[in-house]
Amino acid sequence: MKPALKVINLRVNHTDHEIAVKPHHTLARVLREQLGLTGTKIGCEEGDCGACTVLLDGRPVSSCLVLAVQAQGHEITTIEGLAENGQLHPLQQAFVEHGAIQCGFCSPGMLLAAKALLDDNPHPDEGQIRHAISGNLCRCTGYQKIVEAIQDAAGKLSGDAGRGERS
Amino acid sequence: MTVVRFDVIQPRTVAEAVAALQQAGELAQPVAGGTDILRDLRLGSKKLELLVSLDRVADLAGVRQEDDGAFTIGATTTMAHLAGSTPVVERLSALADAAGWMGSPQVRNRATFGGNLCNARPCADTAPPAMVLGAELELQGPAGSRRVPAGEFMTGPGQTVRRGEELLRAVRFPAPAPHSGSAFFTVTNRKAVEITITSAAAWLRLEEAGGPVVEARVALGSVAPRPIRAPGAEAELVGKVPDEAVLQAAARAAVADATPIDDLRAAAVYRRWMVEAMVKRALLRALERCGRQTP
Amino acid sequence: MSKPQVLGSRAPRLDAPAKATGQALYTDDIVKPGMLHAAILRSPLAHARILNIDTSRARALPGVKAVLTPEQTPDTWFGVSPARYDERVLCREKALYVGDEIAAVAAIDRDTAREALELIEVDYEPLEVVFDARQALAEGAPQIHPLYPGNLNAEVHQEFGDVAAARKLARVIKTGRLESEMQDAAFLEPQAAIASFDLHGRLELITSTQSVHYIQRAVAMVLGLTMDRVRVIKPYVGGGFGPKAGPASHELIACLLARQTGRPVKLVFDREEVFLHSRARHKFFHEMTLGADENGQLLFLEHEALLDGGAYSSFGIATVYYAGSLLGGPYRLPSMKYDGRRAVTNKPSCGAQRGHGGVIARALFERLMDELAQELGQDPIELRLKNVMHTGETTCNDLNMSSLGMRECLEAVYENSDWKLKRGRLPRGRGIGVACGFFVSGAGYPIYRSDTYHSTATVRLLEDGGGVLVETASAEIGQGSDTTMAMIAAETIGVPLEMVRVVSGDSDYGVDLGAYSSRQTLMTGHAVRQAAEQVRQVVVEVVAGLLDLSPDELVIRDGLVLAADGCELDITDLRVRYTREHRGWSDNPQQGPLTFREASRLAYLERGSIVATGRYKPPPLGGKYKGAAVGTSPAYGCSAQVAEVNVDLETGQVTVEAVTGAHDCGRAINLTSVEGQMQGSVSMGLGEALFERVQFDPRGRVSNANLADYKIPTALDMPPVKALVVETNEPNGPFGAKEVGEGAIMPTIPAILNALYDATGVRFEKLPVSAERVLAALKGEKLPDEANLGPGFCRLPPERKD
Repeated sequence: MKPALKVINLRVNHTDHEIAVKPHHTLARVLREQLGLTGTKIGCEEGDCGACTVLLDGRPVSSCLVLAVQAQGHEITTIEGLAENGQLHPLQQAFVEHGAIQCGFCSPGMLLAAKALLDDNPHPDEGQIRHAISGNLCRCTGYQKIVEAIQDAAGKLSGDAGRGERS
Repeated sequence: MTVVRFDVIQPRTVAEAVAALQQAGELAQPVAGGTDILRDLRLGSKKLELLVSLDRVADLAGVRQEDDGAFTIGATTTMAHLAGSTPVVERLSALADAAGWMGSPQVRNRATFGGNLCNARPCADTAPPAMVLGAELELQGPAGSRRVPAGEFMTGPGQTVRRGEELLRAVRFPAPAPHSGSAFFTVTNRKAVEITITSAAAWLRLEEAGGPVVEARVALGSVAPRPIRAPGAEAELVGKVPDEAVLQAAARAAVADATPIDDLRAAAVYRRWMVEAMVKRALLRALERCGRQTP
Repeated sequence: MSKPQVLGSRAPRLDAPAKATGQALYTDDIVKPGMLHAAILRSPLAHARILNIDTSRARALPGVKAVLTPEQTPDTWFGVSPARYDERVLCREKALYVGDEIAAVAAIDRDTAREALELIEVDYEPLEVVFDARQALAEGAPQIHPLYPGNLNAEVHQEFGDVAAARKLARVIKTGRLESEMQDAAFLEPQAAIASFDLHGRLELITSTQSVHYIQRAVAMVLGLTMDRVRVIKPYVGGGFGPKAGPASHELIACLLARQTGRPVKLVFDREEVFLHSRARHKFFHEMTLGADENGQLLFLEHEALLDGGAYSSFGIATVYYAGSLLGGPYRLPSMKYDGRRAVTNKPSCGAQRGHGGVIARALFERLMDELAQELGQDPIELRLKNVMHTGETTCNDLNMSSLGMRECLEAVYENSDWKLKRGRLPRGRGIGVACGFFVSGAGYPIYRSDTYHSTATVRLLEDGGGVLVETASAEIGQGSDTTMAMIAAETIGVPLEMVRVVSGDSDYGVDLGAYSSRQTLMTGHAVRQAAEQVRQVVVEVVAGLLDLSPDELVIRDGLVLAADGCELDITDLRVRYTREHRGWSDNPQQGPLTFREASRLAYLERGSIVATGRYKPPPLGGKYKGAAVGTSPAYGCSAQVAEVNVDLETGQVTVEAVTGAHDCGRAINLTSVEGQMQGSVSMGLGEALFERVQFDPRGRVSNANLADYKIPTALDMPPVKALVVETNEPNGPFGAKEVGEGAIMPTIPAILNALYDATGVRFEKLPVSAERVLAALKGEKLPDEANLGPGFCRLPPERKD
């Protein structure tokens, strides 16, 4: 069978893209292969590892389980949308400084899960942090420095509150 | 992984969705969050040509409490929504317990109540809570709608009474009774991203605070081809003041109601031990919550 | 040496920003014009004769550009060690495990390639299968691999000292067994490769690998090319841990399809293929007897091991040796007998995985140490301290501890964990345990017999600006080696880290055996240091000449050229000359000492391009006995850990509450990276202790080939890990540095097992120690034989076409 391509509008990192997709293609594939946004990684394509995490209307989802056609009409944030004007987001900066990145394959998904957490809960405790990233597997770090980086970024972000929007 | 090709339509109303299902027949299925279906398709355990995506259907998600206190929960309400909804947490606690635990944060933001019930896994975590809370599933077909009690919905692994052309529209819960409470417990190896090895949901209604049990419902997950009630456990509870010994006896009695098998996740003997452990924990927590139930 | 400028710091990794922003390109992120996508048809049967392969329908599918069958591939044997070259690109005659490569296709996109696979019709004659290593070696078992009669892949028999005599002197003797399951490395990035030929017939292979050199050799050998016609490039890699260190069929397949089609060909594994390919941790059966005198001094070890190796060798010949040799230390053990065998079975091939053959063996050994301590009424740390080797000592199997901080590591965990507070005082269900371990800092010999250097490196001073470029074929796979090399170069030359750039993971940059056996800090580090030192010397010579001084009167520090005695130097003329060449620049140095930026320019003007090479290979190491090579190393890292567990006595679930680890890495080049390696090692050890095992269905297919059912720890499963760094200044290491990446996993499983004994009184003999195993042990009940369990109710069984 060969279903027809569907033309959809995807709003990714505040930019609109009009593209033709195959109905069975996932958001992960379309982001990577049609929009060239390869920052979103594919670790298992079954929703078990979190490497493909993107934010859909600010909430972390496994993009390998979201059909591209279902993503139309939503705000999609990928890792490429975190830094602004070449400036690292405080989370990215903290990850770099704390050694929270080793091989880096889990990092895009991890950062976005952390961002969603801090947007929702600016002062999480360690348990809440670990809970928020429990769907992001990491084989390299043991999570220790990731947790420390998120704690540090939380402190900096809430310290900066009122000094201007960082979305 | 198998090659997967299918078409997707995105109807805007339940009627459109139902019509599409009716027309397409066996090779079509509704999809909401897709966290189960897309995996099954890729693993080759399901073959479909059309997915009827419910993501644009209006009024299919959300938690609504009627004037009489009854709940109507839209089929495409996500787990995250259920776990974060104060009325659900307070009144349908077992459901919130299950919804807030399963999968991962990413999965919970997409997986839906309706999807979890319709995929009908024996380990479906929202099923035991739905069963003990007296839920009824509203199925919409081309000819009209019908209601099916939660306990009668699943018939086997991946099997439900939903006809191909029917859409699960909502799940209704009766108004919570005074002095009642519910809870859900599960056991797994890791602390996240796990499939339930054995689960138990319990609901108790007391005559009065500290009083005897008027009604009890206990349901078990992952210990039979579908989630089941535990009548043996329930019989031990009704009419008795639920002290430690009574709860223990009920938990022990639940074991005989289960028919677990050895599989790659756990041995049957372990599952039997866990029936007792999980039922006990669920009953204790449900009892605690009876005390907190404000009318 | 004066106070380090860069070493020992927490400098952020050079590649972290690229990884944090999604800019880092891993193999599957790379696209080449005209690129095709390949996929591999794998055997659905565990043991079968291949009677016929009909590709006609696949070839006819629109979009398919090439189909590869065995006759179109070279029948050259390859593998990891030349003594065990036992694989070919595609199966000939027989498939030996579910997943064995039968055929391959290249098509215009991924979907078409996979669809084409389903159109290839293969006639198989199923053969008798054997999944159990003991059955495989038994009389009458079906013969699996043509090269290994009786399914015996390797055997090792070693004796050091006189075990029989030692036995007679022993006053305390403990015997024990441990059986583990096959495990997976579970790196987040599945294998991927892109091959392309240029119009001169030169091959470029981009691949997610740990060793461009080993892959380059295998590709050249199998494709019949000279090495100079093959270039292997490692882009960013999402973890390796061992399985990516050896060449694999998918890399060769991509190359062959690229040659056939004249187009670049990309091949990416899905997660199931990662499991089917494996080359990860073996399944081990260990039986050991450990004896000591009445004071607890160790006297002898008798050790028998059986490795279930799966269908092919991979690194397995080294694994079966390491399983024995890595018990020679870190305690004084005067005599040791080891009999090890590796069996062939109809399952995915096992190879090297973090800690290699030493991990499970160490787990049993450390358990027996605790049992000795118990019998003698000694504290487990006390018993170990009594036995630790010291720097300078040599093991009974000729492994020389040129530095060994085992005592310091034990003392560090004793002081910094809750051992004193909690040992012997915890209620039932809670426990605290300790263990030690050690590992090589690079294998003493390459995997192919050769006089080759283990590492070569080039350090180039850019002609203007003062930038230093380090070129190395070494593999940054996430462990931080690029940053380490940059720091070594910066420290050696005397410039800030920001002035150094590293390019790596490309066979064009020289020879480097790659990231395995925990070798790069020591070996690549030596080569980089040597090259950097030469660069430093040239600059110093030139400037000294211009100032009419001798070179040893100058030093370079923090990017400045200074007089060694601290006096001020008159550099006016030099500065004028530099500034004249840089009219228009707004930031030319104006006052202060001569900068490296200026000095390097002047050096170029005098000498031309300043490029230096470094090289390293270990001296001949080890004893003269068979297999002596495996276990030898120029240096050994060592580790101690204390773990606390909490057991839910009702469910058997184990929570590891805390881990305190101390590791002797000789000298921490980058403190954060050392801690990170320690914490990562603990997480893999914890997963292997409690959750991880590869499971098989009755037909030999991996039944949990996904990351939901193969369980690596999540953030909720990992406790905080306190990482303490011990430094013993290793004489054979650059700046005193040696390994951390694999030594730090050695104590984890036994520390948890010993803690579990403290908590429950049970000595677990099977790994992983799942909740159900714990509960069954607590209840004194048996679990059913776990072999060959089906998927059960909750994963609808996939349709299989045989």
